[in-house]
Amino acid sequence: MYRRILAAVNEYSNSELAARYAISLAHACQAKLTLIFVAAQGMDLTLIRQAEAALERLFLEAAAKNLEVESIIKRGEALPHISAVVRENEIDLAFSATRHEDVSRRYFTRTVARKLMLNLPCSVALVRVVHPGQLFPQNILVPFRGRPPHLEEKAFFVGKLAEAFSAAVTLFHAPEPISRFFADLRRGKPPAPEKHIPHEIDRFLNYLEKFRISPQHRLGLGPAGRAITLEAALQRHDLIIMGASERGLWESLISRDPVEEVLRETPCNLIILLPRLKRP
Amino acid sequence: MNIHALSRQEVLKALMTSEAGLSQAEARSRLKEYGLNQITEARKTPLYFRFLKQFTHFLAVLLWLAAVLCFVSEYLRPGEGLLSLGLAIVGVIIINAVFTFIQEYRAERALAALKALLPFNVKVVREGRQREIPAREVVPGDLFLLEAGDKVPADGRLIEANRLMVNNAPLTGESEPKPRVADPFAGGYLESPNLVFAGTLAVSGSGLAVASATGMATEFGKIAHLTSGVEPDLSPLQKEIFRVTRIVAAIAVTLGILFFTLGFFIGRSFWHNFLFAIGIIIANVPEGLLPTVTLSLAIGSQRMASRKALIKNLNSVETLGSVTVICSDKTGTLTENRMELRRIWVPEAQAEEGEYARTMLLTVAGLCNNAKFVEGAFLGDPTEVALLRAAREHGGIRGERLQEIPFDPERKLMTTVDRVGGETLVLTKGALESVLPLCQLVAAGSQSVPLDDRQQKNIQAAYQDLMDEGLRVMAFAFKKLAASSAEHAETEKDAEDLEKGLIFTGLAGLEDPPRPEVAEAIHRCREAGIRVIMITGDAGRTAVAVARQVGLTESEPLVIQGPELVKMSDEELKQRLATKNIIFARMTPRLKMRIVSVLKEAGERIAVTGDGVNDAPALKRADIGIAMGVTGTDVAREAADMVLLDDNFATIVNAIEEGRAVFENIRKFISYIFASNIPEIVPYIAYVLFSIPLPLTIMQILAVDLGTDLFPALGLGAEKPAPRIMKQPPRGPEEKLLNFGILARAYLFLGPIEAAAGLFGFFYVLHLGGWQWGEMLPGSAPLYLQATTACLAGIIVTQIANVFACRSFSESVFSLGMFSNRLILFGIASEILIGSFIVYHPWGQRIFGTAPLAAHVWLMLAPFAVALLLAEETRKLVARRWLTAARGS
Repeated sequence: MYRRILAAVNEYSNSELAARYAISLAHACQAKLTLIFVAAQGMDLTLIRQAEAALERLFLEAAAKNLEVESIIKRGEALPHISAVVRENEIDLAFSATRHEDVSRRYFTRTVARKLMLNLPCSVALVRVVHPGQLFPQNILVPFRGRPPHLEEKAFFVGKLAEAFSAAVTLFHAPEPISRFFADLRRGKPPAPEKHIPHEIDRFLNYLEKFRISPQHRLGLGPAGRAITLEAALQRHDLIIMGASERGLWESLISRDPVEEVLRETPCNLIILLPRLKRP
Repeated sequence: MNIHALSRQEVLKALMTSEAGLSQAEARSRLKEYGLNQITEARKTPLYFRFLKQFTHFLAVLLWLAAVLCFVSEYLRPGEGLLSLGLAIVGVIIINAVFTFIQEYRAERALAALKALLPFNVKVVREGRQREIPAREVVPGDLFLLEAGDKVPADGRLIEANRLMVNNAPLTGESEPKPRVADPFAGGYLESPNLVFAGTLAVSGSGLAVASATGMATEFGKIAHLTSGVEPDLSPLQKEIFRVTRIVAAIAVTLGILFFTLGFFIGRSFWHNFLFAIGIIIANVPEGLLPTVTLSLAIGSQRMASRKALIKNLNSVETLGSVTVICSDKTGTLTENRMELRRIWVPEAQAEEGEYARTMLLTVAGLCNNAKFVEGAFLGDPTEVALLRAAREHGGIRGERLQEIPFDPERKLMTTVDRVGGETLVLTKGALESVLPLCQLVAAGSQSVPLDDRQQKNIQAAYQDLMDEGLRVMAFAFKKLAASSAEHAETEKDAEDLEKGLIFTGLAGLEDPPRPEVAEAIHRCREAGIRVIMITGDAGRTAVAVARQVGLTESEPLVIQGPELVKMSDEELKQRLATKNIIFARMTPRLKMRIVSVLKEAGERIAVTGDGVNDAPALKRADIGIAMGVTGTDVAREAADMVLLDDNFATIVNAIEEGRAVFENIRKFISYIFASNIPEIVPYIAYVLFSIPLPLTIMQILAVDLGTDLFPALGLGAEKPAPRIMKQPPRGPEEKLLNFGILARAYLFLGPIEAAAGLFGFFYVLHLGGWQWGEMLPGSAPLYLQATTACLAGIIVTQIANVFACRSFSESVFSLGMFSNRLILFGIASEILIGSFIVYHPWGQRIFGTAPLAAHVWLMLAPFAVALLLAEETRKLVARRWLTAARGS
């Protein structure tokens, strides 16, 4: 499914760590890897050298795994250059990193990560590394919500990444109850979450079975973002793979956006996948 | 591979750092990437949401309904004064919400201030140089140094470890320090001995680690996430207020519908009946209850704060009063959390010979020891600190360390070779079962005698004696190295060689002494029917000894150890918990959580103490989570309902006393407030049934509920705990805040007297004004205004007597002392002032539709106050006699 994977690298250590996930996935998919660094106009020379050094380290790491790898350095604005490379090289999936500074903004607006996510003409995996000491996941948490788009691609991504690290996978579903605002007035038992398991989960499981993965199932209750964070902390997951939010800005303002919440408070490393792949 | 399985160079590469550490610029950049190394308050409900919640609890909803009814009535029948009434009710809701919110916010800030008191610095290596930076600025990739006494600032992988021991108790609850090494580990991440975790403590040795995770990504942070996942139950008071408001709502609506229907059959118009029904409902809703409860809880929380207990949530004040079980830690709560050498035992010898053995024992204790005395403070493992302190007090023998075989938990031994006054000595300390087999001789004066069976028996007997006293026992031995061996002492010698043929010199018993005030506090708990269960991570024997010293147990207690509890089913545990004297030893926080859950299922109301981060879920699960303010972690303090500012068990008992007093006080002012409902309802009933002018307007009802009643009720809320309050068992779950007795006393006994006073005043003024039965007066007629004012005055006068009557349910007010609660006197003064304003000030008259009363009207009403007080004193006398007779039989 993924024949060409791109990893955007910059002067931050986070991007190098994120690119290591790209190397592992490319290795598992036998995909060609493109590493790219776009130096902004007027960027400090020390920072450029730092990013170049990261690019070199990653290149050597990928080459050591016998991957077909190329590295590109450009000067200018990140989005147009990366978009052009994605089009020219027919990239299927691009990895980009986000960091604390980005997620402290609401909906990480005006960040390169968001621009790439919204505008690249390929699938995008946005990586947030909070635990550099646990880059090799052993226990991946995959939150599942009703009717996710590009189900097959998401299953492929999860399956291949789990395969790359020989990691166990846990599917997690947390139906969101009605507002607890009038908690004092409400009485009775909490709703049974089993009733709310989406049917699409069976299709997702079928896809995962192709990778000989039989995930654990777990159910949570409560606001999705909170439930996911708690589950990851409680079960000591070392990676969360979530689908990107499809909520618009207004919808996110009115009701909470679980993706944004998890992005902000994740207790372990996190990948947010926006699947856009057209071909199987 | 993850970092615990990598070699030193691979670790540095994986975390993108070097032997020289990060550069300052890179550290700044990583701070932007990962954020500050701090535990954020996980998933806190936003402030605005918490403020809004103050408007949506049941009593507030009831008041909103009353306000809406007023606005609807004003819209349909303008000019009846219902707009002002509606606005006044909305005002009550807002004032109460703001007040409650401010109280809780202040408690939270106080907690934040406590947190701010505890910043700490850490030594890091950056650009090849050692620097000291605030711990919150540590970033992944930073190299940080650890020495004895240092708090670990972040999760890290050790790349150097020199006899490093860490105490993981804040994270795992295990109080025994664990050795740490720098070698790669092939097993699981959490079990890896080459990792150190944020929030834990280095107790001895030193090390260099690379930070691998900071802030909320650390193991400490993960547990902080979990605390937000435990949903606290409604507090008993919240449940009771919920119940009381439902009863009040039911009474109000039933009466409203009943009299609406009655009016319909009598032939009154729809609007007349509708307004009347609203009046009845408003008269029944105790508008003043909410602010009075809130203020009473606030007063309770202030009093507790002055007794070193910081309450975070107002409702917890009363919950404390209903506690039936306290699950208490041992270390730091019942004891002082410092080791102390209590007894030294040396083998049988003559006095001066014994002195030699004692000196040698203290020489071993002082020199075979890694604790330090730096700038007037002892640093290191608490046991070693206690030994070093004792050695220094004995004269502080100096020596030069030549060699050390570090303490090994497997061998339970530590040995050093020291040069002391020209002699080279091998000094060994450790567990008796490890030291004794290495000894061939026993110190007996300056000579040594062979360690024969008799000596062995003596030593074992002394060891048992010390253990039975609950002391932690250590054995000491030494030997002199021969001159030829001494020459090579600086070279590494095999442990086996060095520790051969030692001379046994004695035993030392150490303990963490109990806090002096705890025994009295436990005695008070026993009198108050509260069970105290010790749950400790320490061994059973130590726990039993401390329990005996503080009076927690007199007979032989049932001791359940951690491994035993793991195998036990919940049902078995429930049965064991029924045992009177029970102690849980070698417990982990997870097992503690299980005990709390089983006790809760058994219907107990539990207060749980805790200080570690892993205690946080249990603190949330308990009815009252109590965190230690001094030694507790931020996470524990965040999860708790109450924070002990002095970590002292006795403070918990003081807080329980205050909590019980708060419940009693709430009952007292409920009784007081509800009594005035009857003189507010009866005039309406009389108005409908007997076709008389309405004796009390809705605004005048509000003047009582939110004006004159408020401050005396607050005075009742501030009554100090009665001495007997801690001599009676905790109230059971079936014991309600509002029961038939209280309702009957208010509605059927005190209320009718007040109603009689009000109606008497009303008819007295009408009679003086020449009113004839059946005559209807216009609402603005001076006579009518004066008559309703007299009805209001009747209620005010009798409520003054009632506030004294309500100070106790059974004790005579004269035995309590008329002036013992100054707030009540202040409340009565306020009541008189507000009443005078309503009756005599033109603004008061305009707002409440009143007219000035002549002095003789007040004089005519005064006997009702006296009658109420006398009637209540008679009832109390009968009640007391009945109680005495019941107890006697």
